[in-house]
Amino acid sequence: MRMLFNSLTFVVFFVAVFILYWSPIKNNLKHQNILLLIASYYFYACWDYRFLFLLVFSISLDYFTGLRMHEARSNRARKAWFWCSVVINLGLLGVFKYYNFFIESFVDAVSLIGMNPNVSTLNVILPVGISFYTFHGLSYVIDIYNKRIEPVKNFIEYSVFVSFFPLLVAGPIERATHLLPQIQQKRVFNYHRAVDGLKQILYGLFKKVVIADGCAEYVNMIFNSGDTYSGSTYAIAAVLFAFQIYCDFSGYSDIALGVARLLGIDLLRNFAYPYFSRDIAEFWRRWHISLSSWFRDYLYIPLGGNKGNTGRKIRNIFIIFIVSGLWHGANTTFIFWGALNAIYFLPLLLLKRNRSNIDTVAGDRNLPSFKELLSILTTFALTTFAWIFFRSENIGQAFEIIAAIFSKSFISAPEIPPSLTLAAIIAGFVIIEWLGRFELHPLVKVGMSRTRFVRWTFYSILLTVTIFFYGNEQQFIYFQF
Amino acid sequence: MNIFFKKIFLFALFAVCFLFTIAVVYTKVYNVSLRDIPPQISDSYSYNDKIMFALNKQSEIICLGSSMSLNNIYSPSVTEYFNSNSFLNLSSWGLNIKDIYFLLKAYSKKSRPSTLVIVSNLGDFNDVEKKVDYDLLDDLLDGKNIETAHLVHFKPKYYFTNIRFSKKAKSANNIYQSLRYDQYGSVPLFSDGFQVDSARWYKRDYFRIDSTQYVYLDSISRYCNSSDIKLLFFQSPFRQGLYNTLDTAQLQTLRWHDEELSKMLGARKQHFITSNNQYWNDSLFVDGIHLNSVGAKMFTDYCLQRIRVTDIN
Repeated sequence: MRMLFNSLTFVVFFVAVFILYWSPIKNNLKHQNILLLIASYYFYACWDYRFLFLLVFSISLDYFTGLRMHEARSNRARKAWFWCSVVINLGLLGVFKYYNFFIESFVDAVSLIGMNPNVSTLNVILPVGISFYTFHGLSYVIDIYNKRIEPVKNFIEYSVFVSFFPLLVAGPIERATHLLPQIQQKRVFNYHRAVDGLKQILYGLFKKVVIADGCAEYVNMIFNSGDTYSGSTYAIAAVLFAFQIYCDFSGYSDIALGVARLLGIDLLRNFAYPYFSRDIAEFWRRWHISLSSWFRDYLYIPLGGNKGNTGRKIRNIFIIFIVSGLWHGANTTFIFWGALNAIYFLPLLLLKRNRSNIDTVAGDRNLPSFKELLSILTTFALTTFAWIFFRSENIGQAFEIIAAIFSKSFISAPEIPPSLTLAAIIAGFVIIEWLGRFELHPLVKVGMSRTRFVRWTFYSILLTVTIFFYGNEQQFIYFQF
Repeated sequence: MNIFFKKIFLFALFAVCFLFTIAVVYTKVYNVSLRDIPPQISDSYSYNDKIMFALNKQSEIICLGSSMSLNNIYSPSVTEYFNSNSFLNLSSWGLNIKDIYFLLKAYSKKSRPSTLVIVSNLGDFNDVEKKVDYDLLDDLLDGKNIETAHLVHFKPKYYFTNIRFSKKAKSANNIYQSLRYDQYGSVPLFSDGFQVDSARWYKRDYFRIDSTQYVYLDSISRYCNSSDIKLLFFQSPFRQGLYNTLDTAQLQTLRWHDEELSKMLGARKQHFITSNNQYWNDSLFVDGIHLNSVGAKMFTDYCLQRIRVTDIN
């Protein structure tokens, strides 16, 4: 019984946790944390109870190495504990996520020079959320090693930090400096925060159920069929996939943030209207923020960041984007996707224009200027082009699709036209996002309306559309990473 | 906290009223009713609708299969041949051989058919099976109430997307999605004014065969044998214009398929009639494989005539 955020099972589970959390034990922080821990382990066990042991092992490893590092009397000992944690964490990730990929790539490579090694692969199942909780743990250990934080003494508090159920399977990737203090502090129910959390959940559900799942029907039909289509059909599928992946992942993040807020905890923001970005650098500051900033702080800056000569800058950018691609999965398509984004990003970095769009677009205006609109559309087109690699089953399919898009068939009528209802809903969604682009989520803007009737009617419309579109519970894309 | 729960309750009340108003307006504007929609027994609307049609019907002769059996069989010819009105066409879109096997077993638990007719072509031997809740199907065939069945898999999207479609499918007989059954459950397609799209007219994508489907056909054959059900298996034809464009490999596959089925069913003295060796004029079709009502009559008569000859011999 998988517990998806968009399932009735989760609703029942969460209502039970919420009532227990705020009613009988609301004044006891320790009990609240124990409840969160039990709920989180139960939530994870619903996905696959066998991997609960792996999660507990990973948590215990980082908890104890954190303490040992802090207590170590010599630098050598500290370093030894640090590397012990890093190697085991990355080793587990490597075995479960990348073992087969590297073995198969090795066999392919040596077969090119005529060798035929007899290496067997393993039937490894990917534990859900392993990329996320491994990165949680790593950031904690690295921060202790760099003396940014002190280790947590209380095992339950640390366990809740890593396994807090709203973020356990698909993030946001939290930092100890941000989440741990909230877990250690007494939480008081805040009406406004709880109501805002509910609104964010509603908006996340709308994005997931209506737009992401609506786009998925078309996208899956085109990408999974094995048939070939015209360039126009592929182009539509690529654009719809751009909306699907955004609404799927940011919808998940919205629900996670909303659920956490109902429990009195603020999680890191993961998306900030990335499709209104005016260049790729801005896009990467607004897309999957918790992962981008993780790589920036724990990989890019230690590598030297944008310091040093041009060659070093180029190397660092390629490393960070390719590793980011590999983080998503063991497939060459993700490596191409990462490399392509590095290529997009490099000119901005080398021309020192990567921070030229820091503020929100059209800050003091209702509409963007023509130049801004053009920049937004160009960035969206580049991103969508890169998504083709991300979505394709293999590199061959990606290149076939790109070849079709750049052929004459691009200007032909699509074989399978997308639903007009879906197109209208996406158009409405873009308008809502634009109007709310300065807020954490667009419903904050709606909440500013003084008339309750207007507010409630708007929420009811979102709810009604979500209910009408609620079909089969589709898994969130990022659960596979 | 209390204010929070109070507000949630008030909003829920508001939202329910809103939702109810929208639903009422929708059904009035489009003049449709929820009663027009069958419960979601499977992921195929046609399947769900056919199960509702079949409820409380006990028939001696049943026809089972995909749209080949739904559209290409001509009910009056069948009833005339068997000299019986106890005929039920239980077919629906896209059933593969595995689906047919499970539906046959489910239906046979409630009814004791004496004859099973399957009309098929190569396309039915694919690996895309329907997702069917067989427990719910059993309950329905047992006569459990339909309201409960609606609640078991209540998915608003299913009702929302099908409520208007249902009306259209039930009233038109010149569209592929037609579910305008004759009194036995077959759907004759009328080519008069039928807008055939070129993709379907020229489509040749019927050769992706899944070998396990032959195992399921063997299971059907054995099941019929052990249950004393006479099995008639008719191989539906391709439109001649399309048949002429098949390449050597495709023709070989088709021949191999016919031989395989003939051997398998012949071993149990069950009837296998192929129509691939006959000329089927394009005017009898609405696309590459679906016959219009005239074609369906000719095809059904042809197969039954062959059965008659075989039985006499």
